[in-house]
Amino acid sequence: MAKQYDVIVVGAGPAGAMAAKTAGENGLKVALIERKQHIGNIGRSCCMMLLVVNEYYFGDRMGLNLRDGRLNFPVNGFSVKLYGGYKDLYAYHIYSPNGHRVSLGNADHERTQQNPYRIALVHDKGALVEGLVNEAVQAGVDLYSGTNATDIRKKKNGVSVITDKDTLNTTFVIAADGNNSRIAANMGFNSSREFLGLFSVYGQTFTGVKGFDPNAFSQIIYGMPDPAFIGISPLASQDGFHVVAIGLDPGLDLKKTMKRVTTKSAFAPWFKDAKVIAETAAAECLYTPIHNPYRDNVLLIGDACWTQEAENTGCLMGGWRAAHSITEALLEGNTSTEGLRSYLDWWKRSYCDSYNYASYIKNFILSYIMTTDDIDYFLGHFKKQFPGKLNAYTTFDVLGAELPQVLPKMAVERPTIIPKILAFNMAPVNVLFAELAKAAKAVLAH
Amino acid sequence: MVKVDAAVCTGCGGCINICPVYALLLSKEDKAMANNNCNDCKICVRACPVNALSL
Repeated sequence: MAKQYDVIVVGAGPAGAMAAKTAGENGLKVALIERKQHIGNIGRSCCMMLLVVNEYYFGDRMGLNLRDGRLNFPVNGFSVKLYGGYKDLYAYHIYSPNGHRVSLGNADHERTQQNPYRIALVHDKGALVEGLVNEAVQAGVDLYSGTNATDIRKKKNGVSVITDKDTLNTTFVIAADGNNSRIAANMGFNSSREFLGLFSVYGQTFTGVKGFDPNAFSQIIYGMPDPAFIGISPLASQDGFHVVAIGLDPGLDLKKTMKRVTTKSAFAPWFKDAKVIAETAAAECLYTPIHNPYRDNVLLIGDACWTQEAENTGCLMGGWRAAHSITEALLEGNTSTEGLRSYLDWWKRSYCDSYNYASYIKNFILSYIMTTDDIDYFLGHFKKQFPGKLNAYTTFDVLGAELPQVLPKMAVERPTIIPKILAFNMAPVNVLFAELAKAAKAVLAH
Repeated sequence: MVKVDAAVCTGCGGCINICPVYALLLSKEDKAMANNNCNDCKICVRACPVNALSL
C-alpha cells in the first residue's frame, strides 16, 4: 500500500529543505524528495550565494547573530543556523570591459572599521542546505534522496507523487523543484506565463586569482558583438572566487567567453596563476512570475514560481511560510486557496506586488543593447563613490539617478548611445527580449 | 538516445526539466542520464551550456 503523508516536498534546495524542516517540526508526516544523491553538492551555477543584509529584502530585514552563527528574520519571526563558512561583503563593484570600476560601497574603508557596514554575506549554499535537511530528518521527515519525482496525479482527497522508485500519497505537495519546474509545467501553470528566453550560465571556481576584491561581489559587463555578464563571487569557506559567464543567446559558447575573459581581456593578468577547482552550469527558462501558485493541493514555492531566481533569503522565508500555512490548512481542514491564504498573501505582497521581475532580468540585457565600446564609454562617466548596496532590482536606479549629470555630455559626444539608454530605461522587457526569446524558442521548440 | 559525457556534465540539472518527454534523470553520480523515453529531439543537446550532451 502506498505510504500516506500530510505533505510531500519535492526538491531539497533552500526553499524545500526549509519547508520540510518546518513542517516536520510542526509534527506533520513529511516526505522530502530530492533527485541528487549528494545534497550538499551544488552543480548549478549560483553567483548569488549571497544574503543581502542592511536593507529590507522581500519584506524582511535579515540580521546576523555572529555570536551563535545564526541568521535571523525578525519580520517573519524565525532564525536558522548559518551552516558552513561565510565572507563579509562590503561593496558591489561593476567593471566595464576596459577595467574601469564603479563601486557601490567602499570595501577598503570598511575593512579598517571595528563595526564594518556589510551589504551582504557570501555563504556556503551546499552546507546550508545539507544542514537544514539534516534538521528536517531530525524532525522526523522521510528523506528520499537520489529519487526523481516523475509525475503528480490528483486524487479524491489529495495527491499521488510517482517517483522512479515508489508511489507516495499525500494531502499536500509543496513543489520546490526550482527553475524550469516540471510540476509547474505539468499542472498547466506555464500556459498563463510569458516566455522571455533561455538563461545560460557556465561557471568556474578558481583559486590563485588576484585583483578582485575578496570582500565584494564584482561583475563585468561585455557588450556586442560578444555579449556576456560575468559575475565574480568570493568563496565562502576558502580563498578563491566563483566566476560565472551568463548569456541570454542560446548560441553563445560560454566556455569560449570564459576563456576570453581569463586569457585575453583586461582582467587576464588577474588569472595568470589561477587554477580551476570546480565547474558549474545552468540552463534556465525565463518565465514571468506565477501570481497564484496554488492549485489542486499543490503549492509552488521558490524559483518554481518566480523569474530566474527567488534568492536564498526569499526561499528560506517562503519555505518557512509555506509549511506553517499548510499546517494551518490541515488543522482547519481547508484545502482551498482560502485555506492557504497566509502563504499566498505573503507571496503576493513580498514578491509580486513589491518586486518587478523586469528590473532584475534587465541587468542582463544591457550586453545586447550596447557594444563593448559603448559600455566602456557609458560606465566611464560614473566616477563617484556610491553608497554600499547589493540589490539587483535597484542597481540601475542608483546609476540612473546620475543620468541628468552625464547625459548632456554623452548626447554631444556620442549621440548614438542616447536611444540605447532610452530603450534600456523605457522599453518593456518583452520588447527588449523579443529576438532572444525567439532564438530560445527555436532551441526549445516551444 | 542522447549520450551524456559525465566528465563534462556539471550535474546542473537544466536539461532534466527542459526535456519534453522526461527522458533525462540524475544518475547515482549526480550527473544527467538518458532513459528509453528519449526520442532524439536534441533539445537538451542544444540547451546544455557545456556541450555535455550529444546524439
